[in-house]
Amino acid sequence: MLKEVSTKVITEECSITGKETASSNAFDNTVAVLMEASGLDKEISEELVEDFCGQAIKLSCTIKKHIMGNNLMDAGLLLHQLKGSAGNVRAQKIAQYALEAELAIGILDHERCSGILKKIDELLAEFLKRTKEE
Amino acid sequence: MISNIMIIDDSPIDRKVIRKIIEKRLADIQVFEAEDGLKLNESLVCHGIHMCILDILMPIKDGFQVLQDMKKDSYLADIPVIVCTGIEDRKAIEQALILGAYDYFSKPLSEEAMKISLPLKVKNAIELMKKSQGISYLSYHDVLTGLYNRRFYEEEIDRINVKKKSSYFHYYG
Repeated sequence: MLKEVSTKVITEECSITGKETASSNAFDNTVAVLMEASGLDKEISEELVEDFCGQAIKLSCTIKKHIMGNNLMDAGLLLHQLKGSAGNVRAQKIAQYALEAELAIGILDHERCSGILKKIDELLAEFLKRTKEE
Repeated sequence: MISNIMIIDDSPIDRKVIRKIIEKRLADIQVFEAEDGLKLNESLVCHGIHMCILDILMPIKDGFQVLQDMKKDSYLADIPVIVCTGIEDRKAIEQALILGAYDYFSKPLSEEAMKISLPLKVKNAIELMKKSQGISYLSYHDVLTGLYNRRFYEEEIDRINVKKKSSYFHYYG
């Protein structure tokens, strides 16, 4: 059951290539909050959020593979990393989901964790969406 | 004079965020990065690092082990280390400070940390290291000639003996 769920999520998730330039409303809002919090200029803040999107996609794929392989310790470490990075670039919803997934891993609730990772993927897709439309 | 700092963190994004914040607020800074604590000691020596920012939770070798290794190495023991970890992880902060960390900050970085405290902590750590290097220079060099003095050679021999687990050298006089 877990394997089926995870495989599905991985297939869907890895279809986000990360090659698109991130520039949706969610992206712009995150950049604005990061600029306000850090005092960094717009160009650098955009670069940081773009880099975060690329990294988060890779992390999400790897976390799912670890869950499939029942390697929960590494999955937990990467979720912790995702949570911290999302918090640093002010991608607050992703940070919140990463925290929930970390807690789900802690109680061995694989299915809940996979569900949360799917939500993270959807948020990342949102970040990457607008440029595709442009 | 350029100051060299090393950021040791397994997250490339976190390294970059910290790097950008420091580069924006401090002048004459050269930032080096490491994604883990492996072979770090050689790198710290060869880049002449003045201070480190060290993540605690890392795979392969965690921040505590890195900190312990640095404190055991007489060439690196004086380098101030600022540790970073999750905001809820008070035990890790306490443990790092017990092991000799200079200071700490929590992740995710707060607005106050990004704009004020992190750059200032880094600046203070660099100044501390430079003062320490100045004192060290005076205690190991002859003021008149600028050559290494007797104390330097005695301690260097001790270091070699410890490293080779031998006692080939004896002091006279």
